[in-house]
Amino acid sequence: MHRIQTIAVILTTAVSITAFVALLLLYGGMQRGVALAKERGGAQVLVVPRQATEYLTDADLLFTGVAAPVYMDSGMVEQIANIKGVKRVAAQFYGQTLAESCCSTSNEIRIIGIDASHDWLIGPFASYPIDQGLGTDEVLIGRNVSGFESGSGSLLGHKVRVVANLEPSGTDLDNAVFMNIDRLRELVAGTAQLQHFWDTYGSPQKLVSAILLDYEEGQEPYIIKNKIEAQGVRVVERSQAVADSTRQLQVVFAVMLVAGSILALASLLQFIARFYSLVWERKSEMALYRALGATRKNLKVVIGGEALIITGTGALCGVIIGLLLFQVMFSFTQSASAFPFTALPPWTVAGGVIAICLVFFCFAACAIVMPLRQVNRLDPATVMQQVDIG
Amino acid sequence: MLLRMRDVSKNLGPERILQGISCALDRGQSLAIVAPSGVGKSTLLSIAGLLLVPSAGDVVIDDRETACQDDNERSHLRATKIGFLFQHTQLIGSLRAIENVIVPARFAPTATQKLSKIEIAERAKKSLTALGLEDRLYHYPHQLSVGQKRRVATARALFLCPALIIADEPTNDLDDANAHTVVEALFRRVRSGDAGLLFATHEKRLAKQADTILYL
Ligand SMILES: Nc1ncnc2c1ncn2[C@@H]1O[C@H](COP(=O)(O)OP(=O)(O)OP(=O)(O)O)[C@@H](O)[C@H]1O
Ligand SMILES: [Mg+2]
Repeated sequence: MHRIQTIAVILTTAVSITAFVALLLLYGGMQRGVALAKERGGAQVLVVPRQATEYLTDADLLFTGVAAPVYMDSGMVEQIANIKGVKRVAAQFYGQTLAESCCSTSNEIRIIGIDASHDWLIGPFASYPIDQGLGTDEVLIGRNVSGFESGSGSLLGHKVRVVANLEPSGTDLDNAVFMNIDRLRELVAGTAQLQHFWDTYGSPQKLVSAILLDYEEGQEPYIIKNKIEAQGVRVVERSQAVADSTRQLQVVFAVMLVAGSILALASLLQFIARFYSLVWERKSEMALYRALGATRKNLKVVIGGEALIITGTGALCGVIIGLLLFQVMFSFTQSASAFPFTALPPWTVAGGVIAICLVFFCFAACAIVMPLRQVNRLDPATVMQQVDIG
Repeated sequence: MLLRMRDVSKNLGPERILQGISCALDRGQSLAIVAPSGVGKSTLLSIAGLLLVPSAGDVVIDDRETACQDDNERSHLRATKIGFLFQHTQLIGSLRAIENVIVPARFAPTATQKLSKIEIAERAKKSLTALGLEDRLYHYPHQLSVGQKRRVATARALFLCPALIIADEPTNDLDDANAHTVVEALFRRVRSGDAGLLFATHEKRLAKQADTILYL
């Protein structure tokens, strides 16, 4: 009977700690992802062809980049750059590898063509300065891209050389290869499997997929936005998209937090019940120990030790399962990749986990107070009246 | 003096159970308390064993006045000087016979400090074997007969070689042979001069073995 109750308490503790650990890691990771995206992600505004928004949300566009091949006329770059209030622009052209022997990667990934000499977005992530521009055979590799470990490889049937690796960003930058925009246009123009796009949009030499830009300080953003949209394109503003997705995120986590807190409360109650019966059910045993010479302190050590073992085992299981659960959820969010997500640095994780465990140990400490008081009232003489001991 | 009680009285609730009891016991001696059921034998033994505080009078254990001692000092005396064989054996149900015997060592670390765990277990085995329980070492109390439990409890009471052995009706539930074994175990340490034995009984034959008999 003891054993089953004890296991139940350990499990409740483990489950609530699991919930908190996983919650901490996910929430922390997403917060950090959003912060990093804000800090390094560069452009305030993303301009995409209007048809792109039919199947992509603003958050998708900003955080994950435009996964779909969408194109607009490259003249648009010049037009937008000339609008008053636009500070700087960078054009990007999206292509993709094919699931064939053309490329070093085994799965389809995006190739983003950039004009490195005008870029201020990708550069900060690169391990090597790229402001001199990218040569025709030079590429930058996102953190999760495989197949280029030797420092070279092939893309759409042509040899390329890795000049820099990108820091993890928590976004789809991590899954992309970057190369010279003009070179990419040449390569895709010669790729038969992509020919249907050029039949639709025209020659790739005259196309861009997205224009990233910053507004001048002190200009009314909505006026500039209206002017840009008058060109027949869609404007996605980072601050808005970040605010929207952060709000969504917070609602989800608030719900999870409430659920977690209810669990925590349940384990507090379980602690109280279990620790109380630790003494109550074994009053005769404890009285006997007193009769055989145990001091009150001896008994408190016995009771406290058992409580510590119960809490400690629960906490340990909870932390381990929590970390495993996080791994699973992490790879899930990565593959779904709806939000920028960056793993927390280990010391933050350790600190958080320790804090969670401390809270539970405090719970246990509160729950043990009453049973320990009971020990004080235990009279060794009761041993004379009792007949048998559990 | 190992044990001295002077003018001890005890009230339980409104009732006066014991009135002006005095007695003395030294190492190498035995003292029997004889009285009909319900008169207060167990109560008197509890006072001698420092489980109960007398309402009046005082108790000296091994030349120490216990009246002015605090709970810790009394616990310490119980742990180190006194071995108690309870009327209702009082074994712990979740522990095996041999583990029950070892329990007193947990609270008197100095008594067994020089012994390893294995040596302690060996010692417990030996004392259970001496009481004829060599094939019951690892049984739980609920797997033992009443008489076997009493022998396990005897081994526990004697485990730390206490100076003062207190036994409450030690031969209850025992056949003659087993009663003899238990009584022998208790008296052996008295004869060697290491311990004094205080016991309660209503068996005249057993009482006669004691150096002194106190009728309540
Ligand atoms: N906690 C208590 N409160 C009130 N009275 C008690 C209490 N414990 C024992 N008594 C009473 O004290 C008297 C003596 O009890 P005690 O157990 O000492 O008797 P005893 O001589 O050992 O009897 P027995 O031979 O049956 O064991 C009894 O009448 C009992 O009812
Ligand atoms: Mg009695």
